[in-house]
Amino acid sequence: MTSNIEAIRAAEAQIPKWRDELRALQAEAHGDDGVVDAEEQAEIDQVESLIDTATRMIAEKLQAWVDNKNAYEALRSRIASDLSTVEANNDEAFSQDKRAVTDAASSADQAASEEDYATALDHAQELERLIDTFLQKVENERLNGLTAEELMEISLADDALDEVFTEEYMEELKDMKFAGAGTPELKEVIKKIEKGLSSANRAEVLGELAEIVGEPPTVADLDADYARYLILVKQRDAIGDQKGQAEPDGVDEQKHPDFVGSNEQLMFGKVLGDALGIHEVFATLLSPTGGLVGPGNDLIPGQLPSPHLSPDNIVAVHGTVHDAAGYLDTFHEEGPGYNYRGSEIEEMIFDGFEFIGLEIEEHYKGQASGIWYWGSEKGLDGALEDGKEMAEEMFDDAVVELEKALEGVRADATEEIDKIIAAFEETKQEAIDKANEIKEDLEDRAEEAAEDLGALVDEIEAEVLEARDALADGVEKVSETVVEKYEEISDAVGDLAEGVGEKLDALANFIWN
Amino acid sequence: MTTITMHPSELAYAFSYSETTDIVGWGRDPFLPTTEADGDPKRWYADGAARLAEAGRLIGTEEDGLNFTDEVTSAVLTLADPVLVLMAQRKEGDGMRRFTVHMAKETVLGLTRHPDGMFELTHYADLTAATLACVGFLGAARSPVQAGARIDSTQEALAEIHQLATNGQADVASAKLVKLGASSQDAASIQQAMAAPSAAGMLSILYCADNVARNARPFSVMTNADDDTWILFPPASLEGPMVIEQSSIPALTARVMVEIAAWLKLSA
Repeated sequence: MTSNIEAIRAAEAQIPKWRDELRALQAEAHGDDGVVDAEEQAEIDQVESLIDTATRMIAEKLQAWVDNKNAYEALRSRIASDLSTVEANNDEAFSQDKRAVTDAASSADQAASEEDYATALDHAQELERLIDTFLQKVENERLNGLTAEELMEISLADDALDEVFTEEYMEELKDMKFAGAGTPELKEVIKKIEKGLSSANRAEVLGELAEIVGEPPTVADLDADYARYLILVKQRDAIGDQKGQAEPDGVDEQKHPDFVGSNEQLMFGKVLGDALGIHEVFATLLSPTGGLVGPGNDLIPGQLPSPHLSPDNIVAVHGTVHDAAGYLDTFHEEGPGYNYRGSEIEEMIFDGFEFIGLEIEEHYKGQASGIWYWGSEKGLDGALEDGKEMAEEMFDDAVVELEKALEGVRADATEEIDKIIAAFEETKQEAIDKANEIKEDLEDRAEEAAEDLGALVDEIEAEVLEARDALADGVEKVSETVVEKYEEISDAVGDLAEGVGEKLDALANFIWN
Repeated sequence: MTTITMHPSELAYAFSYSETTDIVGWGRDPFLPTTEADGDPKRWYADGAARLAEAGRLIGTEEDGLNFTDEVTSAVLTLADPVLVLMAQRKEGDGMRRFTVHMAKETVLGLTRHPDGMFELTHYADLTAATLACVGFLGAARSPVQAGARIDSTQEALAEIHQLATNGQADVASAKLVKLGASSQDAASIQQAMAAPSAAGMLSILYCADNVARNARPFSVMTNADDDTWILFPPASLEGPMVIEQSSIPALTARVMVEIAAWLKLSA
């Protein structure tokens, strides 16, 4: 009924008739004496209730029909171009797949012509999936024709790659549960795939997998993903060889008998799979120990007990995503790379400026655009080698100009910070005193207002005290910290990008030499 | 501002779940066993787990799954994947004392190490407070309120002056500073800060991604016996100019805050 618009419209047309009948019933009940007895009223109420229910249901069905229609039309519009690509493909090797696509398109068109948009949408979704699979097969065929050297030069990342390394993605991943995870059946299928599928058992094994992980994906989807997985293995090995990286280790089943096919492993596979556009099961096989995080995994069971962290703990999830990022970078030269997530702290920094009453946005205009051009959009690395030195000089000049242009902002900020840590305390104290005064005055009249003011006093005191306490804390820390042997600063500070250590060393020379 | 202390094995254990070994500003060694008695890494981790559980920082059961407390979780994520680290290194004889501040999301976390090897973790309310703590740690002067004299020069020229000042050639060093534009009073003050600082060190702003310091803005910070603080820094690359400027607690704090804000704007 959801999509049968004729039935919906027919029912809708009935409503005025039902209402006429209701009115007739009411008139009859009033009869000669104008009094409606209890039995008559119950009958009227029942009919009214039925009409209301029917009206609501019709409206809901109608809305569902409209929603389906809109969704169908949007989807058809989105896949129109890809459908044309499929229709234009005359390669005999894909004729069967092409037929499946055209059949699904016909079914969708047929349902749409009958205004049955629920069915049309189902067909269109199936059509979309078939088109994706078709295009992936065609692309796999093309990639299969490439040499290892050629594969090293191209990107096999999925469009979704950038979304994989976001906080939102990690939050969702944390609670994800995978069909078949932890079952012996899934483990067995993964072991079979790991050994390699032949033309004799490929369909059978992928059928078993589809049964375990549920449909979709269908066997055809998994088959296309398996083909892509084999191409990814080829790329992984070629890039790994070039970098002198050994092939990723397999899982030591003696130590980790439950890891293969576990939710933790599939979580890692999901990250990698989304980044590379393949099902998580195949992605786990690219780096089988991915997702095996934490010291507990290094211990020999039974010899030294060590608790395992709950896999949905965000720290463990971070480790899993970290593993995937490392693998992608090492073996496929993909990933966000220089993923500066400044937005995370931007709000806090600018809140700080707001607190001390500064507006600095204006100062970036002009110089900032030049710096951005040379430093980012054009990209120093992307500049021609001959022009690189000049570009670097221009970048330096622009940064120095900006540094000077910000002198006024620094002066304002300095003054405000100084007020916060000392002189301003008096002003703040005045505000606190005033607030206290008003508070006392109002206490008798409005308890609620007094509470608000009390909170304001606490807030002001907290802001001042926090900054002053922090400064005192920093001074105190000097005597509390260990004196360490100074060697090369760059050796003692963790991972540094190229040029960072050199800069730190240059400035350290003014202190330690 | 709240402070907790943690054993390095506790941190090592927690870091391992985030697939992290190196911490920006510290590397990995401070979190590894330092003595023979601490035994192999497996025991070190097991000890860390036991300490965390005993302190109520690792909760739950093995059967139902263990979890770090929210406090430890946010600390580990901040240390393991910061977007910004302030690294204050204070000179102490030939050695140094270290104090770092790590920022990620809404957490601003200070980290220092005590002589007994324990780490002190301090949560600050905001970056202003944490920067003040770093500047105080480096012994900067309380005044002047505004940044004072400034000389724009080069790394080579200032390195030569530093060399002269620390080798007892105070007059030559001062003369060269005057030649660069300093008043004779400022030249003497700079020379003293270089040759015999009452407090000296470095404050480095490290912009990070994927737990790697991608870019640095370091400042050498020197305070002389007269309580004059001078900072030395390259506003752009090392090939560009090198600046020496009179500073103070509020001036250096403001400089750091504005520098970070500018970076954020340019990197957005």
